[in-house]
Amino acid sequence: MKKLAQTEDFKSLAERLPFRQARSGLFARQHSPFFRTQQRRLILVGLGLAGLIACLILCVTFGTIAVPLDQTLSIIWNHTFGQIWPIAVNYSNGNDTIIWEIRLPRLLLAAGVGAGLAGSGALYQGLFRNPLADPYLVGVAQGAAVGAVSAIVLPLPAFLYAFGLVQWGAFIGALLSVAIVYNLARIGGEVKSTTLLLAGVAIGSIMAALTSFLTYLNTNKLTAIYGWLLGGFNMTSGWDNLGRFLPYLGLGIVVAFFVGRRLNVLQMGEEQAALLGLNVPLIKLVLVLAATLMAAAAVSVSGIIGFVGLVVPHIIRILTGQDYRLLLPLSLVWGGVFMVITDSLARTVMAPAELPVSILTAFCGGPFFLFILRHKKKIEF
Amino acid sequence: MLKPTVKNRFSPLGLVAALLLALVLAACGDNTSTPVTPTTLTANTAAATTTAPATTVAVTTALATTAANTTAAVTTAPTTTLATTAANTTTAVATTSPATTAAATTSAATTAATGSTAPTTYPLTITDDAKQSVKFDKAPARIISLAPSNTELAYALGLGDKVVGVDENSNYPADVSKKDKLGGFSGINLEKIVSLSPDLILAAGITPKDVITSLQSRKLTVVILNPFDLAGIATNLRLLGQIANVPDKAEAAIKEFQSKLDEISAKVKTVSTKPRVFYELDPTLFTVGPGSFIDEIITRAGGQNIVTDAANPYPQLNQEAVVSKDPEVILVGDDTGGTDTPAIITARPGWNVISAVKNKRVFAVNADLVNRPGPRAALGVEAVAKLLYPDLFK
Repeated sequence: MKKLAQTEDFKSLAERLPFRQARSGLFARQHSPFFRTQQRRLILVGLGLAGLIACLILCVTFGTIAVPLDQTLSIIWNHTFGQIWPIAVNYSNGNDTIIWEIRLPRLLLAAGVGAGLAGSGALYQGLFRNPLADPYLVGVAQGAAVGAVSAIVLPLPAFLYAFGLVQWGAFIGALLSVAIVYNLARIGGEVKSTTLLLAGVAIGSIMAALTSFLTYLNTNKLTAIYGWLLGGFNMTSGWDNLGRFLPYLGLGIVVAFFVGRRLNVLQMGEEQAALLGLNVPLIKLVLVLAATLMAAAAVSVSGIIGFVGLVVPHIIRILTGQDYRLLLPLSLVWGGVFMVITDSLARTVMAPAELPVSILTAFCGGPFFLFILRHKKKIEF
Repeated sequence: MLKPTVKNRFSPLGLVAALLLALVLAACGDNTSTPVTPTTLTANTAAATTTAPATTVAVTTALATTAANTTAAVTTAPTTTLATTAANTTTAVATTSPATTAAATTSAATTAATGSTAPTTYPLTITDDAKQSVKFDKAPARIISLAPSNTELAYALGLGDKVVGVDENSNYPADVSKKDKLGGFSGINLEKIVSLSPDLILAAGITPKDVITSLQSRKLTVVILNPFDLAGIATNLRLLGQIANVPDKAEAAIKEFQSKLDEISAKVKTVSTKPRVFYELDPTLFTVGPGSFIDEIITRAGGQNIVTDAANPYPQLNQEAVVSKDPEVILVGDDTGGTDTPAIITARPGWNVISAVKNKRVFAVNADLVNRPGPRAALGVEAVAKLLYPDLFK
């Protein structure tokens, strides 16, 4: 036992073990997160959900056009429970449209996209055991860009655009790109994480070049292309986008709750995990599929928004430790909170103009991340 | 085992540097001509595809003043003779620009504002819209145009047979399809320009600065035409007429241009309430604000732009702002390649409460007419006026 413990592999293995007994028993770690008991963790999840709801209510009331809270609430009530128990209308038709058709769907979509990106980032980080992994690592963003830009530049009949042609283009492009990467990385029936990473980077570069080329050929559509590439929720009014997006987010949530425990085992390294009886190839396929579907759906409705998928899981990890049973749900919830806040800032700080939300995610998330990193410097990935 | 190395990697100095960088970036955010944040980039791109925005800060400030000046002239007396307006504009630009030399100011005032049809005497020294003095020993015989507006300007003065090359985006008149193409927004073929041995190159505000410098360093004659408004177009017609020794044609073209504008403003003057207009440049709701060329076209056509206060001439709105301003007419250029059409705008969720959508008054306009600060801009005003007042223009 002593000899084993001295080998580097076993040592790092034990350190990565998420369970408290393993940590304190084998090697007393200096750090022990505050949220280490199950109860406290549940508190954190509950806190996140409450925060998300509070954020949504708070953010839906302020915007370019000021709509008072009571009006906002009665608008929402009249569109939901008001179908059964209607209350008096004390608001204008315009405000009704602004809240119900534009602002609320947008906020909910932002919450969903934030959750999707952060969740998918956490899944990829767990899968690759690489702190730099983010949802766009295996070519989702670049593939989506090619799909969306193709949909924009192809001479297709105009009515198709009203049906979300660009969104579907992005979604299919992202899935195709990841499928190519995954197949490239499959050597002799085995998908090595390193190969997957490298293939992702290579395909990503090719896709990025393709996007540039398509843009170069179609300078007359430059603003439309550029607007999509910047990402954001400016044009996502109505409930269609949300409906299109939610199934994939739901799938991601289900996977996050069922695969968390296995992801913990996977942290010991693929070989060890296989020795412990884990069906590594299957887990890998499920994880890549779920993470990709979530990220692709998010990108297709909102464009490419960086930073959320990378930083939110890291912040959660620093605060609560490596346990993926907790890390995944928390990433989902707090990713949503983060995105709702940044998007609300994006639509108000420069009102009536819109600041691209990806600028804000980096501006808000970056310093906060560095702050936490400085104060919790004992943790390693 | 590796000790935590976070401390080494993120030393406090690094953190401070990162925050400082963030602050500097944030401070640059307001500056319309600093391509630091993607917002300004988009603004510039949007502008580049439309009129010919100012490329330097100095010119941007001048632009604001010019616009104010012109609007004042328009509201007080719509039928003021163009020569006066032109003179006003020139002086406004000249005096507000800090980079102007005294010599340039005087020559701008004298050369641009005269309306005589006397033949030009060479050598001639003129001052272009970028305040550069250019000397001509004889009338140019091989002209290159680097912008569609310039091409149209040259053809309007009957210089079509002297044009030897145009940019890719020039598509009017039909004759330009026979001319050599020299590149477009993505880059201009310098070798080809040099090989055509032009004696006059007409650049525009959208022409990149480095292209102009490299042309000038090859001892080529470059004149930058960058009108900020309709009066500036007349000034440019006169300037080009003087350079190419066709002042009579220039005066005729100006007269035609001006009479078209006068005709429209006479008709539009009779209506009491002006419709609120939203002009959509692209599907991310970039639009035109005061100080932009299209804003002036909308105003002249008897419309009322819903954007009345904006930090830059090409601001972006969000959907809430559009819904609350409730435009009665929505216009969209037909140059978006199908990415933005009346059908798409009408189908947007929530937009059904907007008056323009309710009354089916979402129209596509010929973008070439309203975007280009060329002689056809008067037709652009007419096209917009026809959409705003279908009863007046039958």
